[in-house]
Amino acid sequence: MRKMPKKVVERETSRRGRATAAKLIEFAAKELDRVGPVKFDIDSVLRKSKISKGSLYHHFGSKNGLLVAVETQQFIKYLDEQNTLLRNLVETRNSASDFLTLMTRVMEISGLPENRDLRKKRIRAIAVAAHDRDLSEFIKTEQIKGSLYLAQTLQIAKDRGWIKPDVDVLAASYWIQGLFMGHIMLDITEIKDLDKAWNSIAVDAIRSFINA
Amino acid sequence: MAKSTKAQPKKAETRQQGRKTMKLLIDHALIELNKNGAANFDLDAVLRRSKTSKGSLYHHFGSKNGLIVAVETEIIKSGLTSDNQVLRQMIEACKSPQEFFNAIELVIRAGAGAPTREVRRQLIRSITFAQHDKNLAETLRETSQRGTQYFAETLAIAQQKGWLKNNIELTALSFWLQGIFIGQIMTDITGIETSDEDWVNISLNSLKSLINF
Repeated sequence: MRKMPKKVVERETSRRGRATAAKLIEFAAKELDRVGPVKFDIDSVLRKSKISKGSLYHHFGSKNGLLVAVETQQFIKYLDEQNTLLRNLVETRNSASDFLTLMTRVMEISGLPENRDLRKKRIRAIAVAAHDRDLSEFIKTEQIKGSLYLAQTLQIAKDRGWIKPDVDVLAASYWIQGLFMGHIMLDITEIKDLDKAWNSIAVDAIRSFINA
Repeated sequence: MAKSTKAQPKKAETRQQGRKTMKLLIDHALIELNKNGAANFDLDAVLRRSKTSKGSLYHHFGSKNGLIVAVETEIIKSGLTSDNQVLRQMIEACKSPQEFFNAIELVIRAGAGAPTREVRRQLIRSITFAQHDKNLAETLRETSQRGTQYFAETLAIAQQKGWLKNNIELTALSFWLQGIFIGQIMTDITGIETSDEDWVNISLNSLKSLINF
């Protein structure tokens, strides 16, 4: 019984620690979006979040540790959500043509502003990872996991006869995600009226491996 | 008259020396950038290795950031030009839709997998840097638009000959083919080698529907 208070204190401390770490990540993410990884100003983050340098080193080891934590979080953000949502949608389709409609929609949304932003952040995380082993290991693991999950989702469609039998679902999984990322070429030129034409080519492409 | 003829060679010499220093700085900055990335770019190491003074750096590039922008600008500008021209020549030499398809296949194969990983890595880095540098973003936008336009004009040769379906927007297709290339970043980061051949096959199958065989 006497031990209880100590445990409560410990729990309280670790809860507060998590809150501090979360707050640092939140402010660092804002700073990163504002000035990018090169001009990232750690003092500004500490000032705005009212967190001490000691706390930063305690939780993340270094400025770079914090940067990596932010990129890590940004990279997986929505990856699981999108994957789960698509799985549910595929499972509830009734025919190959329903499946084609769904995949068409998936292609179409890649040009939406929120997806442009998502793409921008994932690209940044990949660029930072080129010089950070921990981050690149993390991204690798997450990307393999996510791609396998998407491949299994495609396998469900394949088992139902909606995807052509000769299509390798794992390769298709990477390829579909690649199309999403490849849209960055259109993003950087800021030509907005080409989205429709891009989509129509993407839909033709997707149709090539669907039995509809 | 006598004054100016005397001064000119000296001026030219200074300019030449200046260009040499700039090139030296850019070369060493590129090495540093590849080694440590933009976030951990060590300017002192660049000055030490290139045996250039800090004053020279500021004179030519204004700041560390200015130097990095200059390097990225060089990379972007030297980018796709030669590939683009080779493709134009290849497609001009084609005599049938099948030959056109074979040329595209060759290009997709050449762009697949590990050999071109470095090109993608560099492009991703430039894009990321440009997210927070207006001038670089402008260079990237212009170069990419110009390259895409050239590529689209190449595809127009095929469309005029009736090999590519009429309803296809060629600028969009040009962006889309570049997207297939850059999208391989997904396999680059996982280090999965097995899917290179599958990637090529899916890409080619998806293109077949656009061609009038």
